[in-house]
Amino acid sequence: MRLPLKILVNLLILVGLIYLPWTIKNPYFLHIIIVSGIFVLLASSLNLITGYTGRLNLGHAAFYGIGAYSSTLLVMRLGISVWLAMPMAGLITVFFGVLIGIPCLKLKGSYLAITTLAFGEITRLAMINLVPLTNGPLGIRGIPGPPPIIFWNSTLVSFESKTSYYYLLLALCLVCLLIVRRLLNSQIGKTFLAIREDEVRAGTVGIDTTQIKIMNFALAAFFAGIAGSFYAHYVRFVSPDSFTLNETFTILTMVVVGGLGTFYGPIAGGVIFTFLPEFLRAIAEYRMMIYGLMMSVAIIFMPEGIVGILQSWIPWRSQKDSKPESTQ
Amino acid sequence: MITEVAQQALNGLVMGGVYALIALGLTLIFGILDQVNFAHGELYMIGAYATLYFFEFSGGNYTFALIFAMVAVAFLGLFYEWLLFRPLRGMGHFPAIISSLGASIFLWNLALLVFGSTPRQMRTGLSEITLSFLGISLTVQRLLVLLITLGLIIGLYLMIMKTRMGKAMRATAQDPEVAALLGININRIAEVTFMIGGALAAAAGALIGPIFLIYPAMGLTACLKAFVVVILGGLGNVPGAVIAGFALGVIESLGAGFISSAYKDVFAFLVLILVLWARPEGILGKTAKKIG
Amino acid sequence: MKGGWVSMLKIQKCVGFFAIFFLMIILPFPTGAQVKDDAVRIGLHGPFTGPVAYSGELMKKGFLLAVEEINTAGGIKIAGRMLKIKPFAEDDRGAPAEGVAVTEKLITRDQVHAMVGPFNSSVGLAVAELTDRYKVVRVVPIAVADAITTGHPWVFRNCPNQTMQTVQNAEYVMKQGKWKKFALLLENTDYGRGGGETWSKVVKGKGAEVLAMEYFNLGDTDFSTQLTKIKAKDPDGIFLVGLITEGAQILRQARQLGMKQQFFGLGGFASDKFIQLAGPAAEGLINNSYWEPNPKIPKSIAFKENFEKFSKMEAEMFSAATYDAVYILKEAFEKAGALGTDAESKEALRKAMHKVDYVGVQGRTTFDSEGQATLHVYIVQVKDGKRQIIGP
Repeated sequence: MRLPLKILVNLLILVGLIYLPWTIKNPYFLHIIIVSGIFVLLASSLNLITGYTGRLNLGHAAFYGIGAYSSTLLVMRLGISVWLAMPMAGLITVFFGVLIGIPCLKLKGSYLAITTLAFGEITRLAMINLVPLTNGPLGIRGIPGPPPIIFWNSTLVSFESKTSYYYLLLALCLVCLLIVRRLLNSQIGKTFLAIREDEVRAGTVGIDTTQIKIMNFALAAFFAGIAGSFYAHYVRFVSPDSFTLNETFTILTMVVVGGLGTFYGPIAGGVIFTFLPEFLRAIAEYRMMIYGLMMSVAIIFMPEGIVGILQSWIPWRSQKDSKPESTQ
Repeated sequence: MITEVAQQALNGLVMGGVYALIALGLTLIFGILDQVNFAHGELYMIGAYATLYFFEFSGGNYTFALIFAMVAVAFLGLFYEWLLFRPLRGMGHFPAIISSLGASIFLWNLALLVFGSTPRQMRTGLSEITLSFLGISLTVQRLLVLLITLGLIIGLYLMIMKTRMGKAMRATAQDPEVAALLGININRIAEVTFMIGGALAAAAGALIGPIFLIYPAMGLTACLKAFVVVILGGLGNVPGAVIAGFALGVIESLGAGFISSAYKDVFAFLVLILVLWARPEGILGKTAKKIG
Repeated sequence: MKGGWVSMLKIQKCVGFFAIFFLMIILPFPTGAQVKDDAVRIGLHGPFTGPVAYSGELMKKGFLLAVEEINTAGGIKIAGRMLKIKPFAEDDRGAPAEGVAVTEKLITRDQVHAMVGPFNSSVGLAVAELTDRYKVVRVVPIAVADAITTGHPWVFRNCPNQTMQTVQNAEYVMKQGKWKKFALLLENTDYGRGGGETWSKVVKGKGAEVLAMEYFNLGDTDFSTQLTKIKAKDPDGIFLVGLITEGAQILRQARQLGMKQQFFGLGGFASDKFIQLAGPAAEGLINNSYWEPNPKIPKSIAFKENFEKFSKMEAEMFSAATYDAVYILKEAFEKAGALGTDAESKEALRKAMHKVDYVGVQGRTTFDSEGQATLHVYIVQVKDGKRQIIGP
């Protein structure tokens, strides 16, 4: 039985990913891989909103932060187990996603961009100023990691080493990306594109754009919230500094240069832009400058992003994804 | 109590004038060219640094510094048009937002490298002279801000209403295709618009520099506030930008003074969200793109 | 025109990014083999960029001067071998999250044997946990929040902590008997809030009134709102907790608003750079200083000269404390007689820290059971543009 090439490649990649930690001895390298995984989640979730429905969300770091803080507070103030807190944090973020999404329904283009930016900043200022809740600019430290998974009185998996965190993140990424993939291939995914291309016409063919747009925000918020929760229990420290505009811009760069509206774009972007600073340590001071430059150059000369370009070279891949033809 | 209100309101007016200057350039770019310049704050920031350098270069001549800074940044505005916006003209807001966002990140981080992260002071001596009456204080520098702001606004208004170039700009704002048909050189209009925007933003930076500190990231918050002002006043609405600018300054100051100073920056955003909730197209909306 | 030209560029971009991708795979990432213990690796982190970059730079220079002096003299003598110090310095931007990230880097990537820093209390609090978890000895030269050392066996501090210096300041102020009604203007961080709470408790306990407590954020440049509110309450004196950039702006804007109250501050303002930034508005300010050139401590005078020659910057307490921190570590390593990233060596170093009795540019330093050094602060006042010691 000949397996299709695509499935074989996917399987190989999966095996490679599972085997990865055993080949890496340097804990710092593994740390960077884990961080890139978090950004893959963040970039993919932003891509849902900005790449697929064409709505620019400049407050994405707020979802990330809400997820992180929610999870932290649930565990540390209410004594909830980390395993339960993670999905709960995701849901809390969804709540805020919907809260932000509703006023944004009627907004388009720059109005939407500025409003989401405003929400992002308000969230950040709330983190800084609601001291009894968030401990303000000092942040919250001593956040516990996930408790060891115990089976029949013997510890199967403990979260003392980075390896366990890696597998957890791998599992989270696979699940989330699978859901996204499924969604994008479904009718709903096509609706996203319809909204991006011509929302008015989409409405006339009977698509409930309101519902879809909210759901789109909610989903993106959920994944970003999960990423935030993982971050909180991995680094074991949260502070408003991690959820600034800079963070949103970094994630946006990952999506734009990686490939807006493509599935693999944000994944590539997330990995590349996490590794890049480590390799360009010598020119670390130029990092943000380079990101800005890349973003501008990318949108002018290659709006499909890296992945978009690669896809246009390999015909058999370009079926499932779409390139932004025109955007609002 | 009244003195406190008056003092806060006066402080607010000064800031408001600065917001108005920055917002004017933005709203012109919106109205005439239908483009979004997220890198506008950097024009303001570079204007401030340029003024600082010209000030020191000329041995303390503030007027010289102000004028030269405005000219220098006008040219920067020109580059903006050529590099970031011309290739994307007519493609809607989205690509322009991203490209100018990228430019913004590039520029303020470049400034961080070139000028250093330590904030700089510009001592014009005018900040040290305080005028007080009825318990309210105003430094000469702040008074200057108000006067020059008003002067520039009036100058801009006259230029738009009375000159040929102004007329051409208004025509382009109304309908670019018809304007082109009538023989108006859209490229030239675009260039002039960006140059004016740059000059005004630079003036704002030059005026604010001696009052507060000059640092590379100062353009970011300023740009945000300017966007709020533009949206409140209506995209492309020049008098709207002026009124909204001053109004925002006062609201912010009073809000921070009497409700909470920690949340000062939030007031601008809250106002924005409330207004957009009620009227998603902004106060005047796209239907009434008024230049002048 | 657009079509053909852009395609060429597309191809170039494509090749460019592919190249980076392959570089990522081929370029050797540090494999993580155990780095040899043939040098003493000490890592410093502080705010080298941001509003207090100047003070961060002073820290770095103080650190590097000490390292250079020790290496020139042969190094540190550990168990019979003379080992040089290999310094590492990372920028934490004054942000707690960044402090955590660079601490992680210094420990897992650079495998330092000991750490020095940070400057900001908020960063100190954030990294104390991590330091304990990785079991690396850390000497904090500047950050004052009490909780940084309390409960953290691996963290030591060679400057007075928040409580010590704030209480000393408040007691001095009340002893003068000149001021009864105060307003507080505080940085919205633990440094500011903690300092404000302690100070107001002490002065209220001695019969004074606290009329207002206002806050500002790091990086703010406009304080007219808070100052206007304070002005309306008409206090005798204003207690200010912040760092040099914001502090200088606050003093200037206060004078511009016509406010003539007496200002008090903590250690953050003991800097010539601060006086330069604030200009004439700094005149009369009373604040704390951890270190001044003191004829009673000859090493401090020598340090001042050497430092100014080495760095071309004014010697201030930030450089002095960091300088001493390195020497303290040297004594500890020598007493421990062991160097390594294994548990035994690390514990030996930690125990040796408690045996340190070092006389340096700050005077005599020993550590109590919590790792806190017992040092005193000077009370200084700005007179004619210079700090004069007026107390304790």
